[in-house]
Amino acid sequence: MLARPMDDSTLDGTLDPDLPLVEATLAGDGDAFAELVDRYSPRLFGVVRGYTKSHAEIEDVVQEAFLKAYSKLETFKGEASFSTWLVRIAVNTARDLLKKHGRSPVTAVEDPELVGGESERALNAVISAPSQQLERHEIASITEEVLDELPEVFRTTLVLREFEEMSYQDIADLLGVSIGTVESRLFRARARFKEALVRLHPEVANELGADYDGPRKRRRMKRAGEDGATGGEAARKGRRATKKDGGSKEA
Amino acid sequence: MKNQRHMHCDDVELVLELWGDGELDGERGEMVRAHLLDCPACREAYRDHRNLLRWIERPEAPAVPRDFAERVVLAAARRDAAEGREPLTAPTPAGTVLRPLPRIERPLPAGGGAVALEGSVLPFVLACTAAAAALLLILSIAIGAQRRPSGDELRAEPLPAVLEQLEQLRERGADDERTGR
Repeated sequence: MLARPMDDSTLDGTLDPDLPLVEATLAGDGDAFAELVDRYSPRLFGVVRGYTKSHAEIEDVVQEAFLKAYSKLETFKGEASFSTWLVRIAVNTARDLLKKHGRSPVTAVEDPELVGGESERALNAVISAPSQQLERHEIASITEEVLDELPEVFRTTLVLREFEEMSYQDIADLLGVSIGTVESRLFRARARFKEALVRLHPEVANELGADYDGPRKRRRMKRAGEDGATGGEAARKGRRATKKDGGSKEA
Repeated sequence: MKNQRHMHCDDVELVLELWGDGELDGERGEMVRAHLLDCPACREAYRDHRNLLRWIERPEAPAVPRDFAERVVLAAARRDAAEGREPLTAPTPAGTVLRPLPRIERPLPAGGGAVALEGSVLPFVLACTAAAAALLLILSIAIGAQRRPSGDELRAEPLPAVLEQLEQLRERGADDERTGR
């Protein structure tokens, strides 16, 4: 059974709809666990696809993530939602797979090249919105192509934010980093995404000219060189209250 | 540019993405919004940022195999058994899980008449009907087989009287032949 009884609510006061199934699974109900697997498999398959394109590997990673979640279920305290907890396990399992296969995820600290790296030309470009003629799957295909160009640490942050629509706090909890690091990585990930998009698909950009040197470019260049641990303090000053401050998620 | 809320473009630029992601508190967020209403250059920067995000489209997730959940639960049960824990109960095989019927939210028809079967209930009713028909068929075959005569019962009993008559007839015929001669 659980280390302490769960009260069916997360810190923001909403009921976690998965808790009855979690408790039934802990009581040995295989159908309850199957229901949880059914409920979250599509999401985890999508998350893990950001790490490998091999369908067999995706299946293996997701299965292993569910098995890890099952074996740690007694330690699930209900502090984060069950889905966030599960995605965290899946991301870590996928990163372990990359390490195992020698495709080790690099971090901003380990790889100096990751600091900066966005070309001036890209920073200086204005992006056009996708044409209405483009189908959704065509845009998704370009997204995948561009994401493949990003270092793993940026890709993960961007995927969690844009696809999983997770808050900065949830991403920080999931990756075990500070919220400032998430902010910095996300900023840099978007800059890298823009750079790769402009490089692979120059037609999406309207360049403003080499002599353009407005405040946006200067600011971006400065931000791109900042480290997550120290950068963005001014920006965080006005951040909404975090969960740990006991505040609401609402802006 | 500075507006009446004292936010400079450089400060807005710093928090523009945070604001777009809903990560600023109410007061600061309102200041950014007010600045954007006044400042075309920052509005353009924000439009550029939004355009970039429109190029980030979630790819179609790979298809999940139909029996995936069953396989995961069985693997968990095997792990339990290997580690000496009481294993999970085996899951009901995929396709035969009898989930609770969904609640029909629509009001019942006036007068309490017969409720039309919901789309999700119909397959369940059809499956029950098919199972009942199959059971009836099996029962009728079984009952019919019980009442059929056995091989011994079907074997023809000797009819001594008839044979005797035949014998007599044969003898009489033989006598007639002799007499006839």
